Amino acid sequence: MRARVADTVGTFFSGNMIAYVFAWFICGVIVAVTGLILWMTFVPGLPFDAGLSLSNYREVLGTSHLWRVVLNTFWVGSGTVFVSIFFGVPLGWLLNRTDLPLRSLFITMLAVTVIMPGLVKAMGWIMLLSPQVGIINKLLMELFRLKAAPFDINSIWGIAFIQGLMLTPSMFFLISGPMRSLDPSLEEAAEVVGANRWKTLFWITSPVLWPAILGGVIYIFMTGIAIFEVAGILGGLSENRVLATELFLAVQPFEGSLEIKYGVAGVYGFLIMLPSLVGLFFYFQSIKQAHRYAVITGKGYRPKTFALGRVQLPAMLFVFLFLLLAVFLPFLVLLWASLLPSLRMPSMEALSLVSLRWYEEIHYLVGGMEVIKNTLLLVVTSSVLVLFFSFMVSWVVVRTKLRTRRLLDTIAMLPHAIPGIGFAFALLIIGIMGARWTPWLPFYNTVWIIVVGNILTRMSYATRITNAALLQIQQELEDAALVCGARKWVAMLRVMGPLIRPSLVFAGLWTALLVFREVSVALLLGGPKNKVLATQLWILWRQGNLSEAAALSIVLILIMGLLILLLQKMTGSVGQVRVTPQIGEEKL
Amino acid sequence: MRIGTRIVIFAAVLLTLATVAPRGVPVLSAASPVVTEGQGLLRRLVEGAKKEGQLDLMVVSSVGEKGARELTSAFKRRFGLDIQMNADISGQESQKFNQALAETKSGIPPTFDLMQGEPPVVLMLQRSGGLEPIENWEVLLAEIAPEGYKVKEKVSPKGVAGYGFVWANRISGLLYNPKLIPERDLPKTWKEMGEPKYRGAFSLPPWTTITLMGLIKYDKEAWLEVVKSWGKSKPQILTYDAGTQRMMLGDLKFLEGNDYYYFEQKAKDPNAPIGLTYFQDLTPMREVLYVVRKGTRHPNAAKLFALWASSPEANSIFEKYSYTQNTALGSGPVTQQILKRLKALNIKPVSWFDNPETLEKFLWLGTGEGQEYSRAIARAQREGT
Repeated sequence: MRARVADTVGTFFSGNMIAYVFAWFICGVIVAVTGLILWMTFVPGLPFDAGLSLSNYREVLGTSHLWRVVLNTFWVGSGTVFVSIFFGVPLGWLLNRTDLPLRSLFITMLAVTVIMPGLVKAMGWIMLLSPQVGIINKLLMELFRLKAAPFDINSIWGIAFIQGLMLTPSMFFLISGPMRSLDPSLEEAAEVVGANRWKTLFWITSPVLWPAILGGVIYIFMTGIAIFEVAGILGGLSENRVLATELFLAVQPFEGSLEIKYGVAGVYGFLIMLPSLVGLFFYFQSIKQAHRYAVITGKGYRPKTFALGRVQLPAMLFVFLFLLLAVFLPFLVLLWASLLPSLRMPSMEALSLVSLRWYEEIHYLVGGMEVIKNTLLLVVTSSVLVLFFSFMVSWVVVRTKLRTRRLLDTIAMLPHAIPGIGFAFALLIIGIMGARWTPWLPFYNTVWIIVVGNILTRMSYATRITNAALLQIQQELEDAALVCGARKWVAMLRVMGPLIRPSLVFAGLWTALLVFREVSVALLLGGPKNKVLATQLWILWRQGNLSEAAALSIVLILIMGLLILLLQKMTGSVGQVRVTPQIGEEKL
Repeated sequence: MRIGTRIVIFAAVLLTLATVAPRGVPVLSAASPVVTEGQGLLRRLVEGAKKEGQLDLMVVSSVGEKGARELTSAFKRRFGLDIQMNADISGQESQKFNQALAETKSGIPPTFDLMQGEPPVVLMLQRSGGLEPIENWEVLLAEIAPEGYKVKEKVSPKGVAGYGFVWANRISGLLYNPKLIPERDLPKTWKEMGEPKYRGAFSLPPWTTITLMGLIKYDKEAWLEVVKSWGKSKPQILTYDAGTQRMMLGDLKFLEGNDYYYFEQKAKDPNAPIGLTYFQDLTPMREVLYVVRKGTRHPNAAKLFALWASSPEANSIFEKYSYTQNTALGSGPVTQQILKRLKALNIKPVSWFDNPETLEKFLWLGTGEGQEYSRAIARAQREGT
């Protein structure tokens, strides 16, 4: 009997079953929560209320301006993707595969931009490109004697431009892992047959990165059409309506109804999800031939740094252009705002008001030790669990032939298609049910409900990275480990894990940053005892204390920047060429 | 020392103590020979709060962390309590009241013992049975906040009497950038705001809670036409904080918003480019009330705080940090400035709780017909149709 049990346990641990169980566990939770959101779209009030109806669908689909909203949303999404690809892909290559100086510093700058709230970036661009007060507009009007301002940031293109800049770091981090893991032998082969660097980049490097780029495009499009904060301040609530701002209005009892229209929000959520599902179809088509993208093989693999030579200066200028638009200008606005009593256009009068007043009150702005403790718990736990479950899901999707693998990948992407607020409300209902049936379980109104919310909503991002990373590793490496007698899980953790370590570090770092700044889930699931830093910052913005919030942002950016630099030193995986032990080599 | 001198010194000490003692704060003494009904009820409430040891409450976000700490410390000091107070300053009143509604329907203990919000959400929760009244609230109010008791019908107005306790008012004003538009050029009435000369000059909020208060003065159809005229001017639709920031940057000339934004900005920078005036035809005022949740784990502490929040002591802290006024008490410096301005302009703010007629109009908005009208107003405000 004991032997049979041991055999069963052995079989369980020796196969792909361990990954399969964990992958289906997390996907099961996602399906259940998504199902609840779907259910809510058919309920007029709360899910407890009796009766089903199509009133939520009628309300959304019956509005006269729906098609204008959908079209605006499409342009915002497409524009956002265009800008983030324009900057993100070249940056990915320059900062990961070339000898460009100061790469670690540049990557740190990219990472910390995520902490800067979109609201301040939008405010900064209003100061630069508003037809009324925009500094750049005024300069151009004076220079070329124009009668009207040439740029209007209060437009669909203005929203797309700012969001594109905001999401470029996401695109960068999505492709950085695969970019670093590229086998240079392909590029070398191209050079041997006479291809120049640019031809190699376009015809060799880019196609191999296609799954990662496509995954990034889908991710950026889905994120771009779900962001509220930029559109909300640049006309999204009036003439530049998009689905995200319509959803915002649905979850605020603004229009006479006192009860929040979560069902209507759910319908908007599903509308946002539709283009994502189309994108996913193409994504799956592209990874059908997974072996085509496997570039890390057992036959010798050593990533190579590309010498930029004469193009180093233009490359540096390109990086500086992006940093100027996405990092320096917003940071300057943030710094400027943090030193003033309230936000003002630059002038001698405003300069005389500069002080460190808000920095002196920073301990109040943070909200106390309990908030810091909760935030640390949230960020660390969420990141570790997201990485673990993403690895499990990607393993099943990429390394097995199970019939349900594509279904798993689709499910892992679902949370990203549904705006966080929808997920948060579904979790709130689950929390309330839990408090009723299992009052002994510490979930409702604790940090753990926010942790679960973040794990579910971040799975889509992390699985794109782990999928792309695993796709690049050829089966023979795993087979070699198995032939040597290693169990499957040993091969998984001891062979494959280290090979995709750069991707895992990127995924973990980026997940931590996104969890750190995530507001909508934390706000809806927050109570008096589970406050976190992101909501403290949001409260300051919301109550109009822009300068205090700017001071807190600056402090957080500096702390996070230092932590990221420290992490880079510790892991040695960012900003340096990765050196991986190769089969058959005794030492490097 | 002679007896006469001793008597004089003793009298002087008593007089000094009487002068420096906080006004209107009855001192609870276990040795008091005669205990009034109010004192007895208060003592039971305090003892109960001590046993409960905790209070989870909402505090208006604009007081900030510092203000919340001062508020809770003052409350504990006032009643000699040593309890854990978890103050949530994240705002989101409507979301939290909707969460409370869900909790009430599912029958679980509430997240917050004490919540604060405006009349629409308070009435919603009251109707669903989610609120607990404070028994003998008038007697207790007289004991805890005698100044509030003098205006008890304003502290706990009809419709929510015994359930909701006003700690502040929000008055709608016209916030403007004096560098871009002088006060004399601003619209004098809500109707004037829809004139073509103001096209693109102002912002409106995405909500309709203030707009709907036009019903207090105007006929339904006439008011709808006024709101449509604003929508046709293509205003920016922005939340108050975003609108105020953009107005101060010079991107907008004026906006309709809560008047406390003016005091808040001026306190930070006396030269901030912001001015305040009021519409002359109608100045809406909303009450902000504290309510105790039904089924709470800490009812005594919650009731004690709800009543204390109506006192001048609490008001002084609210005004100091959030610049919100309490027109019922009328004692704080911000409130007095506002009342002075309103008096100078000969304006009397109007509220849903002013009289039975206004309350009836407010309750009508909760009916099917009223909600349909609300949607029409929302459409008119955003689209002008």
